[in-house]
Amino acid sequence: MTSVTPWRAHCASAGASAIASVRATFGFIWRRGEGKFSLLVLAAWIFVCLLAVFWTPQPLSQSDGYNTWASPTPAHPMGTDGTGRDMLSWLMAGSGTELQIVVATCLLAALIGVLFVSFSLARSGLVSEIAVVITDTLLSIPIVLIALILAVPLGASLLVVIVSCGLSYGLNLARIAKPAASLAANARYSEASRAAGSSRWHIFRAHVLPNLIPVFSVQLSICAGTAILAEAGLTYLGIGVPAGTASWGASLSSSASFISIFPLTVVWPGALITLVVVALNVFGDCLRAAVDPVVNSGLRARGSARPHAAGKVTAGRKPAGEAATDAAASDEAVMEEEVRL
Amino acid sequence: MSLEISNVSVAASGAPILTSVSLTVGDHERVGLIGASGSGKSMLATSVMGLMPSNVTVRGSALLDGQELVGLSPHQFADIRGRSVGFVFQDPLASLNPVVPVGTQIAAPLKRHYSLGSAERRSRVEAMLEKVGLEPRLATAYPHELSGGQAQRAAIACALITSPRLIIADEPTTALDAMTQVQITHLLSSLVDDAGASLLFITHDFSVLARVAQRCYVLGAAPESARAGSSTAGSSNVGSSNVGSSNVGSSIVESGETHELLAHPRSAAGARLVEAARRLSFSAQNADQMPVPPRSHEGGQL
Repeated sequence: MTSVTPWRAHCASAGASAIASVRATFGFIWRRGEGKFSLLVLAAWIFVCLLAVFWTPQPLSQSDGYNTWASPTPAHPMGTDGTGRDMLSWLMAGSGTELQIVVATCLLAALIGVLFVSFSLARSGLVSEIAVVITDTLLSIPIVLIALILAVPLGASLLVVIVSCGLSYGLNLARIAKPAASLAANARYSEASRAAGSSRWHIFRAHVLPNLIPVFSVQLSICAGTAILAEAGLTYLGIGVPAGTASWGASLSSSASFISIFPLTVVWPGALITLVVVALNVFGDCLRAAVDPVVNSGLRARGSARPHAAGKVTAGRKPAGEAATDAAASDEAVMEEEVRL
Repeated sequence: MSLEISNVSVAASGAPILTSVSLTVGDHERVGLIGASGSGKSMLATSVMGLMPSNVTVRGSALLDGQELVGLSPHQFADIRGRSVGFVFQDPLASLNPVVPVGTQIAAPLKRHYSLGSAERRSRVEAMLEKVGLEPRLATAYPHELSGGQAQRAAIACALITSPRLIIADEPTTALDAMTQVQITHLLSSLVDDAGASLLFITHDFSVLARVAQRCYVLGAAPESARAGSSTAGSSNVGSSNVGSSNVGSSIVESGETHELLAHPRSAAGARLVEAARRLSFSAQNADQMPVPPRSHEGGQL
């Protein structure tokens, strides 16, 4: 029996295991056609965000008053809008706004989702009842209404979009994740963990949360896509992103009324939003499969898929060799002196 | 570690499940608790260790090395469970979380009860895996990659990693095939002996029990005397084959050396269990020695 095992070597440096898991997850997504598409689109999006912080083809403040509603030209590859602003520059700058909205909304939704799921599993019946009532009540209020209420003190701002979307998606997430959570909380392995002295909180963290990852990855990617659409809608209503801030929704809404005259100015932001929303949804779907150890063999083979391990990918799947045969040998001896009843 | 259960009665929402059960597991002793399905054998172990929901009431006394268990707070129970008392459950694949690697799950009780460095914890997990006959490499495997027998070995590793002084095995072989049952019972008893721990082995199968326990208790319908004493529950006995469904709950109907009890069961419940085990281990050698099953007076079928 070797004393230095791949597992120990693998865990030798802190966090190596986490990095290997992330690599296995993204590798799995990359190997799928649609996964590759979503990763490329999302990578391009993040790259453009970073790029737009330092450089845009035209300064954002510059507007070409002689060339309003211009068709694409070398100076303005996507044309200009009604105030002569360069469409490409504004869409590039807007990608950063969208990313902020998406990340903040998903974080808020995840936080609220986990919080309310944990409430619904609380030992106290009262706490779980109250959580269910709050969830159901708030879910019956449409996002737009929440946004309108928030817009009263906050005015048109990113915060309105983030809070209204994050709140309602988070509650929805809690509602959807609750069955999976209570299934895991009442499963035999949670009971076994309790029999080993675990607290309810530990069981929630160690057994319930890992079981929620598939639900969360699908739902949060849908949230991300819908948040972009909601930003466009709320900005169109005038309570989303404030005037002067670049966003895809703002670009869309400022040109929407002229769609029959200058369709291209609507097509660019519209196509962009569609592309990113589709990519986010596909990404979420692939992520769900990628984090499932049953589907993603890379995840379970990660202990032995290290460069110095002998068998590269399938090694982790072999049944216990030596040890099992040792045990089997001694067990056979036991079989021979079988007690006859 | 000794466990002394005396006159424990368990009721769920007022309906009696167990009536004045007494049993003793001595130091370094392997004791069996046998009974038909539904007789409340698992209930005894789980309720004494505080694993039951709040609608289940436990009366009586259960001493773990002199410490009274009945009436402990959830926190006190949680400190004992996993540290002094280890549990092995029936369905190994269900008692392991499918989305968490096996090694992490084996390390969990250690993490809960002892403050060790992660390297120390890992080496203990690996040593434990070798002890139960699994390759240390399987620490990164997920439960679905293991066979039933391997999974039960992993579950045993979970229970023994903290070197508890008492192991409660709740039908640990019921979900396994005959061959694996033999291996697992052998493994469990040898590990318990090596560790100098005690074992309470719960099962409904005498053929398994005979290999594990020197002494055993049979759980069955409470005798008439207890029945007369506590006939408060209003529901009538519908005469199902489940012993535990009687309205006075079950209690210990017989106890003694396992081999003696196998040869001469005195109680009806014991006789039925022995007969069932004999039928299952039917073979050419002992076919002619098969006894005629004693007639059941309750009309219950085997």
